[in-house]
Amino acid sequence: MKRGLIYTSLVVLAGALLSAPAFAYTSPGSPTGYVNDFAHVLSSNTIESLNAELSAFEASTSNQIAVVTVPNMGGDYIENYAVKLFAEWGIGKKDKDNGVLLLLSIEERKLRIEVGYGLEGALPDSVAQSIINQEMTPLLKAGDYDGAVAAGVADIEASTQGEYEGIGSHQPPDYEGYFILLILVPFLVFQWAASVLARSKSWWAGGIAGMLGGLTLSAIFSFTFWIGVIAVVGLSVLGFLLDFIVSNAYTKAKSTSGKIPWWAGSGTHSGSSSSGGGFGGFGGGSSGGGGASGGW
Amino acid sequence: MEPTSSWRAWLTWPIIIVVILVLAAVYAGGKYNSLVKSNEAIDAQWAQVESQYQRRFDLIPNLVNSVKGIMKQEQTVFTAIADARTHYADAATPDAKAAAAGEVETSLGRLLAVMENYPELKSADTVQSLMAELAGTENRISVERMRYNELVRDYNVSVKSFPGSLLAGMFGFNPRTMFEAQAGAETPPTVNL
Repeated sequence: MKRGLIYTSLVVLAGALLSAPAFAYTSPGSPTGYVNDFAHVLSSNTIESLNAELSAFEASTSNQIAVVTVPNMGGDYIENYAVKLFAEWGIGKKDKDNGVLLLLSIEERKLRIEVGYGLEGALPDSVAQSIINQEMTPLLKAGDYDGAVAAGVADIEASTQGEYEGIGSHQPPDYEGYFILLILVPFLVFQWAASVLARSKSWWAGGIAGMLGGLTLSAIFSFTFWIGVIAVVGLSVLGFLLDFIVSNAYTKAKSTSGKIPWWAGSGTHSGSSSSGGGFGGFGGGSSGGGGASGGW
Repeated sequence: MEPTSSWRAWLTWPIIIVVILVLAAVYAGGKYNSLVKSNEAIDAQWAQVESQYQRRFDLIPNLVNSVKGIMKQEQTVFTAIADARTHYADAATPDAKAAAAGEVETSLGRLLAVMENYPELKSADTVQSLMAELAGTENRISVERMRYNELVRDYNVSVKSFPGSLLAGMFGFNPRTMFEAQAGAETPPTVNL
């Protein structure tokens, strides 16, 4: 085990020497809760109770802890896999980077605690290493995944709970926000129009809207005939193109269940509803390779 | 003949040219701003890499002090580490710093390899936690470097690809260098377990 520690350091050092080789990271999927058991090694009782516990933990400390098990990493290193998964999900709050990822890859028998930038002080690498070596590895060796994950989560909670305050009920008004809003309004109107056009069944109604807009403008500014024609035709074509593009993007995004691009009107929610104690999505936090790895 | 219609005919081409020029100016302005922005992002990311180098730099004396007592015969390893640290401290330009950091890496790798021969070290708590911090730091360095390379790659693509390349050349934005593996450092130190 101690030998393994030095060996791990060497492997990581070697990885650092070979400046950023192209690893093959493939996403395990989207998070469905704090606990994501892609490898199906945890009991449903453990998943339920950990999800409830981690939800309460986020409510009181605002820290987000994600537990992930994967069957394998497709040849990737656990350090690289963890940092990519952390970035993809954005564990922790965006302005605090207060997320922790506990990752287990079953076939490789590897695990890692990846710590967000904002918690590196509360949960230093040596503490993460001792959580892995002293608490989790013995249980994992005995095949007790439930016990190991529960013990790991309890220790991570214990060391990170004093770091941040929970979410207050009132936030001070943000005047800078109003100013930005002023600039954003035209943009939002555009996005709203795009979203209506994208969701509408037709892919041509935008052209009609553009034509009507052109006619209205001509009437208001009493354009001469030819300028009026240009305005009507130009706006019709623009409206038609916009509708056509956003409708296509929207349908395509829907059919592949991917993310709807913002310009096709995805709406501007950021998943920060944290009332009621459910899982409200992760908050866009990032990590920079802090934490520790181990194996069993 | 109405005078207005000839006026209009006379104005058509100038208007088209002005519109094209305005569009080109808007494109050039946007391109310039985006290049400035990604240049700044690369500099910020380089600062991240450097702060992790500094972290390693600060950890090394602790590690050396905690193992020096037991590893008395390994003076050459310690000298190599001390030299590499001095070179890093003296390095002024980013390129020189990257080269010196490579030297620190190589000498540190040698120390870690030699430490395998001293089983009594591995049971010491201070050495244990220093090793964990060091492993974490090495991983942080490789993460920040990877992100640096990604930013530089995107920037270089937008500097080199047409038609932005014309503007980039005009504004004086040159391709930047990515981190390459150090010469001779491609083979990691071997450990006999």
